[in-house]
Amino acid sequence: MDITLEPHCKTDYAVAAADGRAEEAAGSLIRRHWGAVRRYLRILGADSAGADDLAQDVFVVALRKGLEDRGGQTAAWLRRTARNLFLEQSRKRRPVLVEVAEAVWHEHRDDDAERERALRTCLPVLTERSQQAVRLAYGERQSWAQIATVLGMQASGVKTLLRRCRASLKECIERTMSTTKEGSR
Amino acid sequence: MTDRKLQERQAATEQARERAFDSLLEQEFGGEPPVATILKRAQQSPRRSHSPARAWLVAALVILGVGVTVTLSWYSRLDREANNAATPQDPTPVEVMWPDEVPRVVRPEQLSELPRDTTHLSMSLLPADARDLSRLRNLKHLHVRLTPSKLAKVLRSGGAGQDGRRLDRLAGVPTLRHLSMDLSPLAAADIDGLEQLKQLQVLELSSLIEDNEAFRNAAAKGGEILTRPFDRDFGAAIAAATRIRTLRVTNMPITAGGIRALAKANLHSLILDGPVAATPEILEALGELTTLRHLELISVDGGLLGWPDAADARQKEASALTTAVMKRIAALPMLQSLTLGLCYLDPEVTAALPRRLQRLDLSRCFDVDKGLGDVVAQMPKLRILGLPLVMAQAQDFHRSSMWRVPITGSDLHTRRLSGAEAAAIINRRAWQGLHLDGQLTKEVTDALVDQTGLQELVLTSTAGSESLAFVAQMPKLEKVTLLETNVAAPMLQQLNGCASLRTVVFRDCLSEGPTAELNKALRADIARRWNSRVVR
Repeated sequence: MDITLEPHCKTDYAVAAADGRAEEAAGSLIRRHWGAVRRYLRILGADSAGADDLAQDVFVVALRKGLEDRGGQTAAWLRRTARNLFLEQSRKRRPVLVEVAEAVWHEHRDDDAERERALRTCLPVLTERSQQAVRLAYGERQSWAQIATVLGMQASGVKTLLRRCRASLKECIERTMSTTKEGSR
Repeated sequence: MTDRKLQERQAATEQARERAFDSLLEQEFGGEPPVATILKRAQQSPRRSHSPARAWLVAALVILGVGVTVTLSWYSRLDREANNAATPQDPTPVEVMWPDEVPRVVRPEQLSELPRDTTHLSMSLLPADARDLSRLRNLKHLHVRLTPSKLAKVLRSGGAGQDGRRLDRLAGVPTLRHLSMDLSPLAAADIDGLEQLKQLQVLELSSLIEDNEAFRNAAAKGGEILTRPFDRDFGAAIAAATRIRTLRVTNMPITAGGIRALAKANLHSLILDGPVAATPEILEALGELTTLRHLELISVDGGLLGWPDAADARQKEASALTTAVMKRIAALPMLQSLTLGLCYLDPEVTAALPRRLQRLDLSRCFDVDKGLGDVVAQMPKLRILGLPLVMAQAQDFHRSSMWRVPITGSDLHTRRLSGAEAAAIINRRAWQGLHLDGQLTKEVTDALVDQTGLQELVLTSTAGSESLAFVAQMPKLEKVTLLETNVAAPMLQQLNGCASLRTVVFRDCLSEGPTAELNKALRADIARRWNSRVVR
């Protein structure tokens, strides 16, 4: 269970922003927790753009409250804020299975860094064309039609290509992670 | 958990895993987080939240607020209707007022000729058959007044000639809100019938005659006709007619039992006008009417009336309004408005006046001295005030009190506030309404003109006063009431100079010409209201 963390309002960020150290600390806080907050929002059900926006809102709230980075406690507070903002926003659209999202989050929480490393290891396994498709889809958020234009293929072909890429990467990541775990034993 | 729910959960879990994997890819290719944007936003002042939940909360609060306001307004309106306009702004009860002209008195056999949408009706006798009245589907005000000549005819015919079940038949007129009975014979069964009038809100009883054996003997053989006392039976019947909020009793003896019986009624306004020689004990019983907002006591000791049994009090010039009585009245928890008239008001009684009043009318009292100004200064909520002014000559008072017995050789017309004393009290604060009884001297009219926010002015006995042209300088004056005044067209034409004036009310006025001529004298956009007592 997350521990409720009241923000430590030692510093009014808006007042202290002129101080370069405050900005540096804030940047550090954002970079450290951005990925986790964003991923948590995606697991909850936010789409890609929505997760970006909500993650921004979470950190704006945190900085306005003068939140200091205290590791796990801070991460828990950020997730709690993200969840509240997401639920506020999505209440009108559809019910959210928060329990399911929490369970999936806990599946990924402990080996997040390892999963990221495994992904970097596995990407070169894909063909150049597949890597380009993945970069356009997930890095530049282009649609299948746009990617198809770039790659000179049908949109349905892009869909199939991306599905295959995802399957290959998943399989590779799982294999890499299990190999790493066995090696560490 | 059912299979379906299990499947839904599994599907949701799979989708969440897919999104987790998507986010991994997005993060790998997505680049750095927008640190600069976040820092910039954090430095800006917080925006108003447009989140749906807060929007809903705000909308819910607004709807709740509107709902509460509408509900309160509705209940306030119902209460006001029930109370017959007993609002803090004007807590005085409204009597039957007629638009433009007083309608002719209708005989029972003429009822079938009236339009079905008739709202106001004046009759000499109640019809024997209430169905004649119930065909008037919007009848709200019914005034039953037996003129002296009609009464003589009734007596010659051997009494009221009806079976004493007249009032309960009015229960068949569901729209009736206001019943006024004047000089009518009333039997014991009639009083019981009052209990059936659950729809009635205002009841005015004036000089009712005891319709009993003595009355019938007097009709047959001649003799004294007794006025019906307002006793315990009356009070209990009114308390049982649960919606009556305003009660006016005029020229009827009152008993302490009658007053105490009213304690069970939810009365808001009570007017006792000219009861015969009420004792302090009877008046102290008023302290039990804890729901009263407005209380009006006129000539409570009969001292200024021609009642034989009041001669002693008249000679002593002693009022039944003692300090003890005033303290009981001051203890009424909801009292907002108090009118005292035709009584002597000594400084001790004045000092005991309730302090939380919004309206105080002493315009027809005597011996009010300038010390009233200090008492008024201790009434922070007071917005409407009535003051008695010195009259030029005794005849002015006699003329104004046209239904009272003239008091010859009296100096009462001088035992009132001088123009300078009244002006000093008026100048103490900004008033919403003023009632002035007596001669309007230059000091008084100057003080009135300075009251730039004054909305209502009541003038009594203005005969011999200076011109009313000063009202043209009052920018917010909306309503002028002329009370017991000899009205004529030239006087009314002066009122036309006031641009803000919307209503002129004539109460108990004397008119030397037909009322139609008076109507013509006023601007077309000024509404006129008359009560039933207009004498030509």
